[in-house]
Parts: sequence; C-alpha cells; structure tokens
Amino acid sequence: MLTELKLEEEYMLAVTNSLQSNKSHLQRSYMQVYTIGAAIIEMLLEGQLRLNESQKIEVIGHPMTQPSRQPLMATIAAAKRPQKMKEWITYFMNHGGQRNNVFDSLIASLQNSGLLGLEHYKILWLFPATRYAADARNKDRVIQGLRAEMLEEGPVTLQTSSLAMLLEASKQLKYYFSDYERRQMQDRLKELQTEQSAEWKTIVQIKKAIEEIEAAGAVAGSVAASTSVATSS
Amino acid sequence: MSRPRSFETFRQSDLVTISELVQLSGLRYSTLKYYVESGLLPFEQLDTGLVRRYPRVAALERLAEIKVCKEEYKMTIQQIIARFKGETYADRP
Repeated sequence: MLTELKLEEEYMLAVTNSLQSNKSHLQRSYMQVYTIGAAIIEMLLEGQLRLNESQKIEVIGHPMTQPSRQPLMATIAAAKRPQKMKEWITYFMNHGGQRNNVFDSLIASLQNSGLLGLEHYKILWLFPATRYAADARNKDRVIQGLRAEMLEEGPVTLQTSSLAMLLEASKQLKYYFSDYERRQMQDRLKELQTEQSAEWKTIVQIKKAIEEIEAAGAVAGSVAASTSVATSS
Repeated sequence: MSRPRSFETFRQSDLVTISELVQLSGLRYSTLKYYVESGLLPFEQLDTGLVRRYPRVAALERLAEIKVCKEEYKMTIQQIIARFKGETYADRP
C-alpha cells in the first residue's frame, strides 16, 4: 500500500539499502541524527517549532504533536534554553540512548505498517548484527517522486526540496542521480529561489540547518575517532 | 523477448509500452513511473506481473493536462494528484 509519508520517513526509506547490494552506505548513528534532523525540519515547516532571531529552535505554544514525534518534542521543550540545530544534533550524536529512543519513535509507524523491517545477519558469518530494510515499492516511489519533482519543470514542495538537500548533505544523492542530474538539480534549486521567493525564506533557514547538521556530524565523528585512537594507544 | 517497434509504428498504435511513452512524451522514465504509481496515468494490465500497456491518446492527453497544471496554474505534483484523484477515464465527457 502506498501511504503519505512524513519527511523523516521519506528520508529513512531513501537511505535504507542505498545500493542493490542491500548495504547501507550511511553509518547507523549518522542515519539516526539525519532522520532526527529531518523531523525537526518538518516541524519547523509545519509551524510546531520556529527559529528565533539568533537561529535557535523554540517550541511554539503548547508542544502538541503527532505521537511519533512526541519524544523529540518533549526533549526540545525540556531544554533549559533554546538551542541551535547544530547544538541539538551534537547533543543527539553524543547521547546514544536518547538518540535511539527518539529515532525508534520516529520510525515506529514505518515499522508497524511494514514499510521498514529489521533484518538479522552475521558479519563474517560469525558476529550477529542487524540492518534496516525498506519496502522496495514505497522506497521507489519516494525516489521517483523526488526525480519527478526536481528534474521536471513546475513548482516543488518544501518537503521535496528539503529531502533533496538532506540527501545531498548526507552524500546519498549520488546513488539515485547521475552527476549530470545532480548539477541539473542544483540549477533547479537556484531557479526555485527566484520563482518561489516567499517560500524560499524557509528553505534558506532549512539549508542553514542542514549545513549545521553536516558540520555537527563531522565534529562529533572526529571527536569519536580521536577518542578511540586515544583509548587504543 | 520481442523486437522494439519503430517510432512510426507505435506513434499510431492504440496501446504503447512505458519506454514508447517516454519517447512520445519526452519525459523521464522515472517521472512516468511515479505518475503511474500515483494513479495519474491510465494503463491496462492483463494479469499481475504482466507488462503494462498505456492507451496512447489518453496518456498523452493526461500528460498535457499535467503540464498545464504545473506551468500555468503553478500546481505542485501533490496538488495535481489530489485534483485528479478518483477521476477515471470512464468519468470523462
């Protein structure tokens, strides 16, 4: 069955099993923080959150949201002071337990509806491990939808532009678009900037938020690497 | 596997394959697949797993309508899907 998906669900389906080899090219922790980032972005688009003058995320009014996003909303609402997207991503990168809880809640509806499964396999035929596997039909629909909107003429929704930018930031776009198509898409995003200037204000904020996710991920990754080197030496 | 038909042949055929529709419409294969999955394009399929055939005239008309919706009315694909939802070719005048 084809269902309406939220941004974080579309992102999750798109990055799961990126290649025919059924092997995801995105590390689990990165997949989780980008999915959380996607949820925050859509909550900004839907007006449940807003960015204040200093680009910090604030909860608007009473923090009511869909059940899948409640743990995330509760975490953001419980913060002592508003934080930037970069700070939230760093927080989730460094707090594995909290990240797992929020992520599991965000993908729960995908799992319940059978669009996303958890496969058990063994590394080197010895060590048990798990990986996510997406429903092929719905995954194809997400990618075809992205291609149909971004590579053809006509207006593009904010959700699709955000998905394209998230996939580009997490370096997953190359699995679905050729270099030529990616260049074409960059040009398309520039065109949209002039055509849909009113909506573009939100897109600019989102682009900045995505760049902050990328930067926070890189910093957290290098800290983790240096910690493991220091521990092993 | 049958040989591909010439452009002249399928240009006048009642039913065409998706590859032929790509050539007739100038749109991408992935775009047409998305339109089909979203219920925007009519097709005929004798049984599950068999090749889908698309009524050439009706499909090209629908693609022209989608183009007008996008270019003149600045509708997004989601709005176009909602606009045509539930409408079948049998309902049309």
